[in-house]
Amino acid sequence: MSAEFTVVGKSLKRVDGVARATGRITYGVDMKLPGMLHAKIVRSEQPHARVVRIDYAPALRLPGVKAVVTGADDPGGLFGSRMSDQPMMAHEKVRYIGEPIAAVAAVDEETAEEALGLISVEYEPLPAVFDPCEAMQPGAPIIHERMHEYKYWEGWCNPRPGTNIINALVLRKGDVERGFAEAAVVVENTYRTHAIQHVSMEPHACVVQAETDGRVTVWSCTQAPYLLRGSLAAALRIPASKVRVIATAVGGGYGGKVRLKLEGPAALLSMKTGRPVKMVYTRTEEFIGAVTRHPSVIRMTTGARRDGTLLACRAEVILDTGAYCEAGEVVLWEVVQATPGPYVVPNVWVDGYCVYTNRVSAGPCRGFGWPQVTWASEGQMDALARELKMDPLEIRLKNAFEEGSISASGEVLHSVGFKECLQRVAEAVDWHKRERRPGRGIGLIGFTKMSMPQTASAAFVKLNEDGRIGLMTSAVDLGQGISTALAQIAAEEIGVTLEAVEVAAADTDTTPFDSGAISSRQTFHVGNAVKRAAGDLKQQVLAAAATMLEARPEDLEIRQGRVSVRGVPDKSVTLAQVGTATQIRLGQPILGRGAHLEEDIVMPDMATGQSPKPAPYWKYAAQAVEVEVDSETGKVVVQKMVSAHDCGRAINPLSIEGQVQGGAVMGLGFALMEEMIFDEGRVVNPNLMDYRVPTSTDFPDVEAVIVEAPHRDGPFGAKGVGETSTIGAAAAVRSAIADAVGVTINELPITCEKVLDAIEARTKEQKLPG
Amino acid sequence: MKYPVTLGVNGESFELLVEAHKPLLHVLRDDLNLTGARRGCESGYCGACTVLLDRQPVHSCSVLAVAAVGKEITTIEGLAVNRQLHPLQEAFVADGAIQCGYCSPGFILTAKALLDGEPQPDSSTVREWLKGNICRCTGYAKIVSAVLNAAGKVRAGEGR
Amino acid sequence: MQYVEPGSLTEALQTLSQNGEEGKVLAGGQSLLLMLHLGLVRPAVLVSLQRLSDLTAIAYDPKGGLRLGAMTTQRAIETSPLVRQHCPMLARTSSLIASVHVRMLGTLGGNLCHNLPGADPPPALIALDATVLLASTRGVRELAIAELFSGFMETAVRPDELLTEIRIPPASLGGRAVYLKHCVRSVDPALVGVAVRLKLAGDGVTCADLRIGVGGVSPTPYRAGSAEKILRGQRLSRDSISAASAVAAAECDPITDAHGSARYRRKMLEVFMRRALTGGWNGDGAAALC
Repeated sequence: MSAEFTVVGKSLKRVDGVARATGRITYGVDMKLPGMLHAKIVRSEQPHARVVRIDYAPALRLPGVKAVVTGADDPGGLFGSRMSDQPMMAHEKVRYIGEPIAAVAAVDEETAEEALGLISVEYEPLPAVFDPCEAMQPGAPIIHERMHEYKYWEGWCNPRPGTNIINALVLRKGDVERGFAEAAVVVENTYRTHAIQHVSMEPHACVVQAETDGRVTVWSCTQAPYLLRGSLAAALRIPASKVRVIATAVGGGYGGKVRLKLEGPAALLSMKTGRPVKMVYTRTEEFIGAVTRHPSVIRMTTGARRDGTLLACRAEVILDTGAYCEAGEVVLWEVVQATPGPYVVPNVWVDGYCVYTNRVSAGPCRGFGWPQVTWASEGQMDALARELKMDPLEIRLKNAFEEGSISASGEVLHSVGFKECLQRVAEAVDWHKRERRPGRGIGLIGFTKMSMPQTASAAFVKLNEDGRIGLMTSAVDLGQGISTALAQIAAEEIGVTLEAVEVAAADTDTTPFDSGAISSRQTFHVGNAVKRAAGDLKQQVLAAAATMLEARPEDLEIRQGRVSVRGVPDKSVTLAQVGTATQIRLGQPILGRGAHLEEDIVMPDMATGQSPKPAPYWKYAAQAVEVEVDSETGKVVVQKMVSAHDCGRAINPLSIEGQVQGGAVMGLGFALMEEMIFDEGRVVNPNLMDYRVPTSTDFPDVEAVIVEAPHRDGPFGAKGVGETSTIGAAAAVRSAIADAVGVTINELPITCEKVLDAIEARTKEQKLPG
Repeated sequence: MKYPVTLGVNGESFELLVEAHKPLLHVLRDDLNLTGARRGCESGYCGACTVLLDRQPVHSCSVLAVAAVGKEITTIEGLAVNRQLHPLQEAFVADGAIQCGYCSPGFILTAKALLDGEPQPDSSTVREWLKGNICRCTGYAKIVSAVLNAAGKVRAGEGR
Repeated sequence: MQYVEPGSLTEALQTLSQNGEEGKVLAGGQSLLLMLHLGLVRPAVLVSLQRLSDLTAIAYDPKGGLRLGAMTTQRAIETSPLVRQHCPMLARTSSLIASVHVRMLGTLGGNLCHNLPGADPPPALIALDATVLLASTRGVRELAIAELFSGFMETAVRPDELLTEIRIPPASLGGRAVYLKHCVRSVDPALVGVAVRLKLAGDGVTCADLRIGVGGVSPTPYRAGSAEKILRGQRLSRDSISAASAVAAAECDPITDAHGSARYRRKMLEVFMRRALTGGWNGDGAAALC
């Protein structure tokens, strides 16, 4: 595949592998500074209430306690993604159980913990609302009274002040009524998805040092250093460059470590005490005080011709974002663009709502809304196949996007490996020759996801005096292997080995701007910036070497760290010689600069959702799952899973396989095991015994299939892949269960109990006379 | 109440004063700076804090430091000898078994205990031993194959 | 908090006697440390049993049956040749507990004394008609295992008592024994755990003796006496087993928690009791041991 490349396309060992295998890498939880204090947060016990009084005097009397901060110490700036609605600490009222009300710093964690018990909060409870459909109704308790004052990005948000609807977006194409009128079959269903937690093995952690000159230094296991910097600066009401964010190693993120969380209270405490303040979430706090995946309710009606050709799709998408947006407004914006799935549909009508409720906020979570809409759209494809007695693969292939297809928003699609994904998973499960066995079934589904627009990446690449390459970006390696992929891109572009590239950790004082490890964007965006920066460096190297070799730059080439005149290998200088000369003797240090540009993005029209190019790129995938269902217990055992992904160009196939396998298992957890259970806004199971994360014995090895439909804008054609494989698993499992025992579950998670109830209901139905 | 204890960690002896209720995990991390034992759930489910106690894998959040006196404690920092990686560490790096790496020390130590007692485990035995360690990144496939590959190398005499 | 490690049983019992409600026994710590972490217990004195090596013995003799010291780890039971030979169902049950990590330190005595919901050994030991020895400075008493579990996470062990030994009588070591567990992940506690020990009469179809233990379903593990009564002395058949299972399901007092509803637990009790009884009847323990 990649014979033309020497570094890109190879399954090279990750550059930070040894540091991680030996435990010698420093995560957020490992940070230590001299004189450091430890902090804990007092969290709301009420889902919706006015905070009448906070009495923390007894806590201050506890030996070892150094300071307490509350909303009164908070400068009051609000922060958010595209919608700024959130304070660092509750001001006047709380909107969910778990919201920070006060924070305490003490000499050690235990003292801080003990102090929490000495802080009392008096509440005046307000009516609360926990269901997003109820929250949309007139007369529902209003969670954000000052929505009209909130700042937001034009083109992304359409808030409705005076309600709990923080964003209402549409997509309109053609005439759905005519489409349904022409359809031979119309299916209508309601789909529900639930809240899950990211369960990064490393909890949220940071150390914040308020400096004497008014600057604030933050060490955090964040996924997005510059976004954190922006949010913290906004919240503290200081210029962004007064905040320095240094990224530690990150022990898993999956979207959960994108937004400002504990860094806020820690900053206030550090400002008050003048000492560095460390904060680490407990596992319970991860559940009650971080973010979740957005629960959703999706009603969808789809019509097709007798031959399976899709004619129309109407959908209402309701996302429950909890107490604050976090990124709910963006999640909605994304999924409204392709709610019907990766299929050609001439008539589309989508109404999307992002709604506040009184529970812990939902935020970015691997897949960013696409697991929810895929749950609905693939359910519709299965329902149509059943009604039309068509093969589920055939109906998908018949309508599938391909190169040049027109999307519902009017985009002419490029880099569409969708059909190949479908075909490859079908081959892997021997779809056409599959045996029918009682209690066993196979499901096969497809889906898409965009990478969000209006993000930015920049890169610096420098030549060191020893000839080695220094790579400076603010990309964050959460484990997905981006450091290695970027080093491969730089090495390929320049003409050096992977080992010749050193990757610097993100530090907002020195590494350039980046929107962070979100939306599967780093390979594409940062990769492009690195490729351009490396190209820039290469030109500078060739110019310097040309002078040194008395040759013309265009006659030179770089191979294995040596610049030589093409065809005259003896006439050469090493990169070390060039680096030494330029940096030390000539005073012309070589620094390549590059950025990713999004010149052709057009933000969708707010009235119709139409845009010829709403996203930098779309990813496509297909998954097949084989299950065995115990019809007496409802237990579903996954026997096999295949996951095929169009990643444009595989920069590092080993890393991509890992992403695909890990994401797929997270998706299976979402489907069959994981659920945050709420009772009146309180998480009932905030621990790893009652919240079930998949272990090594629960699911089979996932077979990863890499499909390459190169993208003209991607570095070497690459697109991102990080989130994709999490998206479809639930839908695939549902299809497999339907294939095995003939029941369809449209409300996640698929618990044993729901499967059993469905089987029993069907048995009862079959026994009815007639 | 604080107790004077001597802990044997990675072949060294450490004299410490520890409170009775302190889990071994906290003493390793806070007092001995052995941060390769990770803080994950602190309740015995995730395995990020796995260490070997008398060569067997345990959750160090679920062992009191005062109760670990007289026992041989091994952390990930004690595995690579003279900067030479253990075959399991090499296999984890080479086979893509490491993503964020937060859980990796726990997996590697559990696998070491398994291979020390049973040099040729089958894949289901490997999975059974590893189920006390949660990995949220990899989906386990590459971890299991890394352990099996390392077992092969240890058998072939390439490792220690 | 104070920490003591008595060097002898006598010393341990004296320490417990002196501290009363303030004292707490530390065995393997796999339940206790979690409870300490969550702040559910705050003892003034922790009495560690780890130096009492006598309590880790596993012994068998034809008259006394199988005797397990309370400090025997689950891993030791799972791998013990003696247990595997004389009571394979118990070895198998131990192997189903949580993870290898937990079984390395977790002890049988500790497991029984915490009586956590969904624990695996209690129903198995009920079916095996086990007894426990409870020692104190006042003497030693022997208690039928079913009487140990007095309520939700409660036991009949008094503050000054120490559970020292678990005894499985010789009569329980023959026959057929099955423990079946229903859970979502294999590391989970039992949503429903059913243990059956069954002896067939010479005709091969009549149930000569039967004992059934149930865990996970109700607030505390219990013996399913009504189901036993229906089958004892009767010919075993698909129908009689179904009838007994239905009675057990009708009579249970199921709980709802994050792992399943009361309604579902009741249904699963019926299914797993039927499967366990059928496994015991057919002798097809391996197939039933899922």
